[in-house]
Amino acid sequence: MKRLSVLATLALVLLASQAVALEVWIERPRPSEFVFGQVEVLIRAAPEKEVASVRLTVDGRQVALFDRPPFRIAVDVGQENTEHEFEVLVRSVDGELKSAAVVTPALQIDEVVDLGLQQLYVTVSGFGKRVLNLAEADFRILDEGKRQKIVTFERGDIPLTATLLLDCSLSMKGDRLAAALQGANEFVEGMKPLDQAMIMLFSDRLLRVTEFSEDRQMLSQALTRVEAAGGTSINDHLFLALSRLEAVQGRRVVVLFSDGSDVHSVLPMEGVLQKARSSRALIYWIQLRDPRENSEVPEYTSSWRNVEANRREFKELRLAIQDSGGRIEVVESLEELEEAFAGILAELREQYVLGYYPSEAKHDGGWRDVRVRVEKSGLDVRTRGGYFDY
Amino acid sequence: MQSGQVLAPRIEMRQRPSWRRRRIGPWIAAALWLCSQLVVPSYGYGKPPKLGPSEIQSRYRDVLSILAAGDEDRALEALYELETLVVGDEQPWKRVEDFWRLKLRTLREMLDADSLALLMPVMMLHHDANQMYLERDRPFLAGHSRIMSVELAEIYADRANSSGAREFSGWVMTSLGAMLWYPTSVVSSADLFYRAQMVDPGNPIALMGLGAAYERNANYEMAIDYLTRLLELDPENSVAALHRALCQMRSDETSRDQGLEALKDLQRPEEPSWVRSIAHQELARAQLLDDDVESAKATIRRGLAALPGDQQLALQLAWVLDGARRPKEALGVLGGIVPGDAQVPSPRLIYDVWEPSEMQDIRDRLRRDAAIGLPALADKLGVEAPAGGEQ
Repeated sequence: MKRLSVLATLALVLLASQAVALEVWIERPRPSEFVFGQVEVLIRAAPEKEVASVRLTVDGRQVALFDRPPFRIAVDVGQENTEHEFEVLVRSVDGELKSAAVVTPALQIDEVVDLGLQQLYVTVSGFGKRVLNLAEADFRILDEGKRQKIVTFERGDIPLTATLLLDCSLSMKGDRLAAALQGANEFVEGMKPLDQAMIMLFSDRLLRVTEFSEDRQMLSQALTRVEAAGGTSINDHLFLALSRLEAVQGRRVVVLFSDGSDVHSVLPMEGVLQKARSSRALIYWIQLRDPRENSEVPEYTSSWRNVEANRREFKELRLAIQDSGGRIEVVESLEELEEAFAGILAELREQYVLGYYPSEAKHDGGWRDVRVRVEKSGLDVRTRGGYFDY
Repeated sequence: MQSGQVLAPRIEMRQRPSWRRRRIGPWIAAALWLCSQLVVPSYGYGKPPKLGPSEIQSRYRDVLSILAAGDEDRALEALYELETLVVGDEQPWKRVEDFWRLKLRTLREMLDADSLALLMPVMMLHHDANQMYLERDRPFLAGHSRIMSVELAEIYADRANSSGAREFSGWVMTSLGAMLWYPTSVVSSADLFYRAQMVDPGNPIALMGLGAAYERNANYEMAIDYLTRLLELDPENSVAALHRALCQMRSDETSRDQGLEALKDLQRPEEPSWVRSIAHQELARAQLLDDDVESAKATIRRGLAALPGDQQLALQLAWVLDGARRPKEALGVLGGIVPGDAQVPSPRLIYDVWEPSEMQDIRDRLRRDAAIGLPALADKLGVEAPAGGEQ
């Protein structure tokens, strides 16, 4: 009997020594760190081979779900000076759950803070296709012409938060609006579980807006029973969309659909351009254009602006889009619309995400030019053109 | 297919080699031409049959006789028949010019110093024909009617030389200009408004239309000139005052100061809400251009207090706050913006698409006034005037 109990004890000790306890902790940010804007989150779990999934929530909202290491992501916590809670929940291969949390403090007014990570969403294409097989070493980031060390590198599908900004002015009446709504619906249908979107319909005024939501049914519902009427205020509503996006975390995207240019906005595009740059959102413009139009830049007057001023507005809108790392998709027939929306979603799924800490940050509020190059010839690399160094 | 003119070349292109071999091409072409002449309707499309000058004049007198008898609807249809017969769809400028001269000659033969009033119903006939042609999608004939009506209006104003005649003629031309008014294409209207104010310098719609047209074309000096003339006649016209203020803001420095003062005046509670909204927006914009952010904020806040729920003022305030590095406050303001009714235009849209209003009342009055000339017209044409035609 005594012998049996010794054997049993030995077996238990042996089993216990084999089942190593799973541990999890958040390495970055640290609990004492003040965080604003883009923040690198680094989660450690040991042993990594025991990990089945890692879920990260920031301030109660799920922002990432990993199924393999590295458990590292850059998230945007917004510019508000407030506490942020980073919580991680790890499920082991045996179904065991472990969690860890870090709460970062709000900044006291007399303290100096180093705003850190710059995050770049990069689209690489060549020969009419996107290039998806690049490694971290293939990229070179130049901040004000100086090469930077890449600290985060990701590729593929990263959750996004998008505002679908649709022009419902009178010129969109009939088939045009129906096709645009259908295209936007395709975008919504193509969203993945961690993606969020907001529907914003406008003419010369805001007509409809939803909250940011993952609920595709609710978003699709917002794209029904819409009537085209009124004028066009792109600047005003682009500013509104960018501002609302700025308050959310993660990769931010505006998909603007319009067949015309701004006429009735109270805000000048020059001012919205600043917002576009500071918000760091990717802006895409699906521009429905009449193939009979000769000029790429529209030539029109209104009581508000003459031809020259309208031309300037248009160029600034184009600059905002270019600076954001997005693009203009010119569509000349309604049949191409669904494809245009789907194409943007596909592009977003195939971006590289590079993070770096600027080597010479000045925090003077000045604009810093950023370029990303790929060490391979013949490739087109698109990302945002820079950032304000606050 | 309306005629063989299109059909023949298509066949010819396909068949040309065999036609040449067999030498039957010219015969087929001749047969097709003959068919095309047979299937062309008597008027309305294709090449119209020719009418001699005397026949045109005679048929025009018939139209005027129907009008003189008091049946303008039937006169319009008869005019439509005659004009489509003579002019067709081909825009034959020479033929139209001749037609126009023949109609004027017909009228001139009837005119003397005592019968000038007969021009009033005739110019209204062509005025209404313009509308009819626009509705029937016959722009070339609409233009022809318009020219005829304007020509008669100018003759009447010049020859009658009375304030009543000038006012009537001015309104006819203004009404025609208003029919063509489309905010993004104002040249045709502006030409008619210009001619209207030449005969009647006090026509308010013509003056406002010219002001708006020049503003659209960024000719702010001319816009200010016409709007000032209107405001001298109608100092309470806040729409004209707003347009003039904004033109002044975009003109020279002295005018800008006047514009700023006017914008302050236009913020009064008795002004229409859209006028007040723009007065606040544009004053704030000017203050921002002067780097006076605090005054701009105060102006917009005052506007929002007076016009709660004004989307554009709220957006402008949020933008100013955001630029002043107060994003949280800006976001709070933006959070208060709620979607509006799609059918209710924003103040900036209302401003941009100024259009002549109450024109139907004016046209009804013109038709009533034009009846004064029916007895003179009937007398000249030897028909019986409708009872009560003379007032």
